[in-house]
Amino acid sequence: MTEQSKTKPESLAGQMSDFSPKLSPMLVKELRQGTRTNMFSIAFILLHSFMILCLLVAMSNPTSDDSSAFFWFIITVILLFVQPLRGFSALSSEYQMNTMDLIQMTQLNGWRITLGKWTALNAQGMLFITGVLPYIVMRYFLGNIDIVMDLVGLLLVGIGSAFATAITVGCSVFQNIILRGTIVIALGIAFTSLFTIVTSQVFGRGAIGADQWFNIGILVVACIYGCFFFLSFGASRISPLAENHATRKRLVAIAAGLICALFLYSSVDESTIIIVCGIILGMSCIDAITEPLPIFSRVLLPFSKNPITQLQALYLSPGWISGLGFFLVCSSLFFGIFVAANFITGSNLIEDREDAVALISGFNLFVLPLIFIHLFLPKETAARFAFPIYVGVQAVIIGVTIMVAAIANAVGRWEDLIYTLLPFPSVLLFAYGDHSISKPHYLFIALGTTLLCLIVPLLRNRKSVGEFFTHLKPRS
Amino acid sequence: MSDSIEAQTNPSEPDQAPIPESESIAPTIQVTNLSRWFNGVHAVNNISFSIDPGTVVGFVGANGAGKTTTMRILATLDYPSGGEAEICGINVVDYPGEVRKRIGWMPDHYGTYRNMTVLEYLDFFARALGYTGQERVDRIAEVMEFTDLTSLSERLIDKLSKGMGQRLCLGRALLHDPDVLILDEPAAGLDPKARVELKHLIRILAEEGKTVFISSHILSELGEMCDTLLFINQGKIIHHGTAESLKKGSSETSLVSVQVAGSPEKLQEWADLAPNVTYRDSMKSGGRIEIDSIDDEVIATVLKRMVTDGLTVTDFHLEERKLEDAFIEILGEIEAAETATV
Repeated sequence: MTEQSKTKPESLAGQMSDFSPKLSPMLVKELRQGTRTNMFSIAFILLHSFMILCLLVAMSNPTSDDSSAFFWFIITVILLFVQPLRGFSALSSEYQMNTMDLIQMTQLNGWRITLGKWTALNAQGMLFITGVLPYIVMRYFLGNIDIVMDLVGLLLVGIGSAFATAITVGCSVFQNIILRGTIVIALGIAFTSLFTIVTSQVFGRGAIGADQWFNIGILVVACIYGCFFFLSFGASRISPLAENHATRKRLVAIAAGLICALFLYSSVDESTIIIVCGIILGMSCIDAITEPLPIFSRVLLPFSKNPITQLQALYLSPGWISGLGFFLVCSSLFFGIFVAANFITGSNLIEDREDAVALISGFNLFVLPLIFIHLFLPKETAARFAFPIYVGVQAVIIGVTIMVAAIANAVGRWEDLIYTLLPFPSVLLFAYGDHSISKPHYLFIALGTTLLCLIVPLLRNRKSVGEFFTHLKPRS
Repeated sequence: MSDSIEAQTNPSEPDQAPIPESESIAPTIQVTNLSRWFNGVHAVNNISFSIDPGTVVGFVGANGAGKTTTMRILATLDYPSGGEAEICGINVVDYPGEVRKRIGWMPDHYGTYRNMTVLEYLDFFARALGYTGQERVDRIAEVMEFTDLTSLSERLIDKLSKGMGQRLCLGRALLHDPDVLILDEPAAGLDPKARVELKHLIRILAEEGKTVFISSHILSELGEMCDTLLFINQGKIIHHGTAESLKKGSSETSLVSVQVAGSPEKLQEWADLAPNVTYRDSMKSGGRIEIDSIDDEVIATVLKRMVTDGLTVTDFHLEERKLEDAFIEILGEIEAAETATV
């Protein structure tokens, strides 16, 4: 030990006091690193440069809307694209730098790691928004500005940014950049579409009234759940298999679905509510049915206490086996929301057997890839990479459906082709939409597909299913 | 895991299940029939061993022998396909959180962060380990002093040399003062000076009573550092014993290095005529002879006879068998046994 290296705790304490000890370690680390990156500095300088430009344009022509459009374009690009993209490698970079193992060896669990990453990115986003506020106020003094609309807009963009960032942070758990990119692009398109629909409903009708506030409300609920879902998704996949993240995730999904269903009593369009509930429950189902199998001896211990907890384990315990049970619960809940929508709003979303067929086929869409995953892949591969494979298989099924539809239309033999592929729920849905063909056995086909999708994976993994139930027995 | 312990679990707190109490005399690391296979390939094949508290154990094997896989399972970063592993009496699969509190893990490729100084790096991990206030400052100061990093506190991590980086990584592993250190190839890529420094640090830790499980390719260094050595080959443990017993091996002969004044050929001429002595090879100013005994009396008699016969012996010492030779020999014995079985 050299003489010069004698430690001076007082000076160290001074150097470490830049962040409060109460802040999350991950947040402190990310902020220290993040605010030092060139990307952050450049984006910050560019933002202020553009804002000054906007102000100059607005001052030169106060009656024009150009500066407003430019203002929102810059805000949107930075908060909805640049910031979320920074989360694209949030977790994968830790794997690449060989630091994920080191973090996991600390007291930080998966949830605190992903939450810290997400919070740090949003804190940096907040820095941007705070930096923009003076320009909003100045634009107000120049006139031609609705400050309430501006602030609501900023709120929505902020929420959207948080949600989009959660998507990229959660999906960054996958180290394969192609897979990560595909998922993020697909979700990005879906998110942008939904966001555009809701914001157009909010801003497209002039001043903000009660209707718009309800629309904003359901968007906020969906975004909050979305943030939770994607962060939990990332957290559960970096955590040890002996930890239970599934129960909380699934309970929150059910709660979020029910809260959104309550909007049936508001002026929000029932189809919007159905779509939002479908997305919430659908996402959680996909996650549940592709979860790797946990260490049963550990995670099922709390569920083995009595018949009630054992029943809960069938849909709330970690792993895809109980994920299938959770899928059934969510399907029932979604069906209930449909019925409730009929009852409360007086709409006719579901009124006959054909609608039921469509609904069941919709459910089947989620579970069909499981047959391919568990039937054709080695068990170890299926257990470890179920989600990436699920994404691939689902993409192929959708692609095949589109091809079948295109071919059927081109050759004019729609019915012949459709009949051979009816077990595919996506094809069944297509056929359902075509009123020119008869549908005598569709309900049986749809139910048969559901049964197959649930039975095949369980039969193929009889040993694991046996272990599941063995560990669920009460232990003396 | 005992049934009584399982029965105490509170279902409302799924991650708070009580851990088994470890017995004071129990081994710090206990591995029983541990296996790990990837798509049918056995990386670790039914291995068992135990490591007593306060010992330094070297883990030796070729690349792909299963060292890192075993260490990662012990560090709760991978899962066994079969068997069990316990640290301080706690199952690594069932209670990863509890095990992690008791171990310091140093991987073969230590992780670095961009845009982060040495002090910030240690501060992050100290915060993540739950240290707050003055305790955090003191702990970091202590670790920086131990690893001689105080003068580098403001340096960016990615600007550190490999040796400094390894010291930083060791410092990080020591932040929570763990009972067990699992070090995967800590000396890989280090220059001789950095190796000596690292060896010195590990020796100090061993003297403090920490159990150190360390893997390396450099057998001579492990021999100096470790109380026992564990050889692994193709996922199987092939030897567990002290370095001394390995060096001694099962040989019934002694290899002696002899230097003489004058012509070295005289040594060979003498050896060719002497009973129980075989001339092995020449060296500068002498050569190596093999004596058909390991008895000190017999060896001393050979030296006496050399002097009596007129050789001017300037150096005469027993050569220890190198650990590398011992490792190769054990591998050879296993291969021979397998061939015989076939």
